[in-house]
Amino acid sequence: MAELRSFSQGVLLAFAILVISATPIFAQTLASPEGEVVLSVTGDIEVKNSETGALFDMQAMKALPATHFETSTIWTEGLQTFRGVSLKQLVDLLKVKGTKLVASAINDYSVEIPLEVAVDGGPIVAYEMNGSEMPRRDKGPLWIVFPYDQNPDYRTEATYSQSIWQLDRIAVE
Amino acid sequence: MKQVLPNRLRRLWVQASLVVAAVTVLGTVLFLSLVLSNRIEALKTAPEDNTQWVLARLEVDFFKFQQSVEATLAGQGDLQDLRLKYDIFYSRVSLMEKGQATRWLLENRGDRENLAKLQKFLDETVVLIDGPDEALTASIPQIKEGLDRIRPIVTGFALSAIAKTADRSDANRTEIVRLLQVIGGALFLLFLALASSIIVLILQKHRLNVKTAEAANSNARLASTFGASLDAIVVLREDGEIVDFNGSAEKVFGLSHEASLGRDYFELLVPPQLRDTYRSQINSQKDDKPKLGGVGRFQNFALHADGHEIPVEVSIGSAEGEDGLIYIAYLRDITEEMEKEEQLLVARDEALAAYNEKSKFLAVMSHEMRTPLNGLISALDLIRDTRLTREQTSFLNAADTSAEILIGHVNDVLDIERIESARGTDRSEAVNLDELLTDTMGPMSALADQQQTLLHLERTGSELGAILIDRRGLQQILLNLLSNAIKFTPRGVVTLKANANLLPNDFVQLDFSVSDTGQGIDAKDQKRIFEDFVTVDSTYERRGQGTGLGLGIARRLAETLGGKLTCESELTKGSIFSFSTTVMHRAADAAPVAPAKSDAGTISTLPTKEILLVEDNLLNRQLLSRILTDLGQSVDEAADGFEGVQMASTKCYDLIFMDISMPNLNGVRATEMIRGSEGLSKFSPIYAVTAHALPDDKLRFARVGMAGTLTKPLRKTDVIKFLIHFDEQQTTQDPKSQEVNIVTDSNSVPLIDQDVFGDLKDIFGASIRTQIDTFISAISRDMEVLQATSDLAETQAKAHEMAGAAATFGAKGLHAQLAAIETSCKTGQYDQARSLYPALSSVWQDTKAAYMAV
Repeated sequence: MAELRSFSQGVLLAFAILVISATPIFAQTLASPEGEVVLSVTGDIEVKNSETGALFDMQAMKALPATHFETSTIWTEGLQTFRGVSLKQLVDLLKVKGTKLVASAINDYSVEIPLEVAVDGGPIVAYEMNGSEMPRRDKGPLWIVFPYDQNPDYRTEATYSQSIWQLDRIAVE
Repeated sequence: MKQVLPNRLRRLWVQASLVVAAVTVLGTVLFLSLVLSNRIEALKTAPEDNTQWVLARLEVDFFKFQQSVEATLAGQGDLQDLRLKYDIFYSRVSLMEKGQATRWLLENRGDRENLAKLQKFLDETVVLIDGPDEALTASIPQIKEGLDRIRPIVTGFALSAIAKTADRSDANRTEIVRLLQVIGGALFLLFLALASSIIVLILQKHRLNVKTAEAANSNARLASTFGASLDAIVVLREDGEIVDFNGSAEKVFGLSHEASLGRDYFELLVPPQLRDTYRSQINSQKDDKPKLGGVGRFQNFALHADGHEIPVEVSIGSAEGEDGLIYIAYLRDITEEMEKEEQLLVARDEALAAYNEKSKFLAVMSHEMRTPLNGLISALDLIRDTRLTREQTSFLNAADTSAEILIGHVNDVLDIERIESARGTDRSEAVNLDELLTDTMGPMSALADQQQTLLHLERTGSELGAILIDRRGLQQILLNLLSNAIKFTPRGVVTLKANANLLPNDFVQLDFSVSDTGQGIDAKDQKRIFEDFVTVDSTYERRGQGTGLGLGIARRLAETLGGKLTCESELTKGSIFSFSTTVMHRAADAAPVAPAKSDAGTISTLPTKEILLVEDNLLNRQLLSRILTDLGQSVDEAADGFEGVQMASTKCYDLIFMDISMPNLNGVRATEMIRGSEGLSKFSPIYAVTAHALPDDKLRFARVGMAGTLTKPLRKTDVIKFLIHFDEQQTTQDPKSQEVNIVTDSNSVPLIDQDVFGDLKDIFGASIRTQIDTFISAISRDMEVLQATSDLAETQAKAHEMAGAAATFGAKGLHAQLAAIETSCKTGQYDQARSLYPALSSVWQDTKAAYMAV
């Protein structure tokens, strides 16, 4: 049942993406989440789908243009393939106005990410690792991951501290 | 240069090592910096998460889960929240197993077991969490129990994380500190190397500065030397172009500095006739190592601007200039020096001329004094032969003594003159040293007796035959020294020592000394005593009657003999006068014997001869005439040269005495005329009678045919000696060859030694004739044997035997020839020996004739 539902959701999402790509005005609007909200972005953003801000369920996340890369991390063993939404695209999509993102996790871990960190080829909000969604017991469902192997600048403690897993909130300040 | 090179090498070496050191240290520093940079980079790009934080989060997540469990147990909780907190804790634990930050936990066995316990708890619980709500609620107490069990493990991990992190940072710090220390050390070394280099550079700069300053000083000095030099200095290039010309040169050559620069040295400053010589001199030296500078100073002429030549002293040095060799000519105008030298030469010539004049004057004066003195002494001699009172005899003795002293003084002066003018002429004759010594001691013994002085002769060293020496000179030295010593040593001892030492090549070293035990001579006077007219002590004046010329004469004579008269003396102890000389030894030759001793007995036996006496001075003529008449001779007198020549032509005289200094026609000219005439006395022996006893004169006399010279004043004893000698010669000579033999009397060996033969006559008496015949026939036989043999040893033996016989019979000439042959044989020169045979035969014929005539 669940598989069937996600398939129909996938078709719908693909349709929606086509529509969004075709109509720039759609970029100004953001569909309200239907499933369980996995990420809420609040604060100084232009594009919202609720009073408090922009809320995403996993379907919405996956509906956004995806980015993927392969890298090792200090928390895992061996190379991992991550797929997710580029933080830059997310920031652009929501027309963020502030200077930094305060990202928080389910475990109440919280870290400030300066807006400049969100660049093309930079961090993504990953929702899949090695082709599978990430369970909550293993840093899921969302994890901000950097391409550590590609850029030595990302192999710093600051970057590691910004690599927040079990992400569920971003407050723009 | 030789010393500079190693210094430079050493400096280069130091510089090179400093550079190498600096590069090495710099490389090390760069390498270490790279390492440090990498290390820092590594620390910056932390390979792992913050361990402490991860484990602290583990504890937090644990407590949050525990809190949720306890809240649910109390009925206030919410299972959804509990499940969330479980998931979070689960995620954290799984991170510890996989994450690099906590990998070290797996390296420790205890930690690994604890981690396994945690995992085991989660694995046991996960079924309950994922189960239905009711089952989960029911199992809450069980979960709480499990949590209580793992709580110490979680806390333990958090605590160990602190220690681990501390260790880790310590290690990092230590490593970085160590790296920094190494780099610091390397930097210090680099600093040292650079500092050393700087010091070396500073020192080199200093040295360079000093050198530069020295060079500048030296240049300044040279420039000032060049400018201030009193000599003209002209610097020219190899091609002769003048490149510098100093102030003195301007004055010397009358040219300005500007006018001379760039001009040709030779065209400008060298007289035309000398240019080619100069040029070729420089060109010839160009290729050789020693340049013109090696020539040293030389005198030459230079050209003045106005065209006249100036005498200059030139010295040319060469040096490497910028464009090849340069010559530096130092020229000194020596016009003044040349003038002064000229003046000095003139002054010297004048002084010499004056000295010669004085000498001549002295000689003439002495001569003029001696002539009247002769008269005086001869007159005194004649008075003695008359009847005298005792008083008159005593006065006569006094007059005689005074005359003796006076003539001694005159003779001294003439001696010096004679020695001076005889310098350079060889007066050597064959002398028997021992005879000479005995003859010298004889006359001195009277003086010694008078002074009560003991007189010794010590003859040491080799036995000698004849030596070649100036007999009269040697005898006079010894006589002067002895008489001097005896005068100074009354009642003392005077010793004459003579040592002869045979040297190689027939030389003989003769050492003479006369020592006395007299009063000695003060050290300050010892040099002075050899000067003329010096008398040291007034007591000497009183005792002796010296002119003060005695030692001066001895010194001069010693010099003419090739020796040097020296004096050692100590006051009150005595004096030693000594001199040495080296002469030739003539072993094979027999010296001509001294004139035969005369005694009263022989006078009456003198054969009467016809004698012509040519003398312008009446007194002298009368005196000599009287002496000769007293001796039983027949005398004719001629008052001048012309009269003498005329008388000689009309009568054949046995002997002619010819005065030299005569007005109108002197003795030499007169002799020439007699010899050149066809007069009866054409071949008569003519003897010069003169006060001039100089060797040149004697030679001149001999050249015109005089047989010998008699020196005035002629005393009776002198005349007796002469006549005896003359008669002996006459008996041994063939009258025809008389002239030749007499002329060369001092050079030839007489055929018969009259002393030896006289003895033989005394011994054999009337039978001498038989002995002579035996001798002649023996030698004639031996001559044939000698000439027949061609064996060297036999020749030598025969010559020896014959020489012995000849010596026994006083055949002196024959003996000399035979001895020469024997000597040649001894030295292996047989050919030379045989070459003497003709002479031997000739001498033998003459000798035989002489013996037959006896």
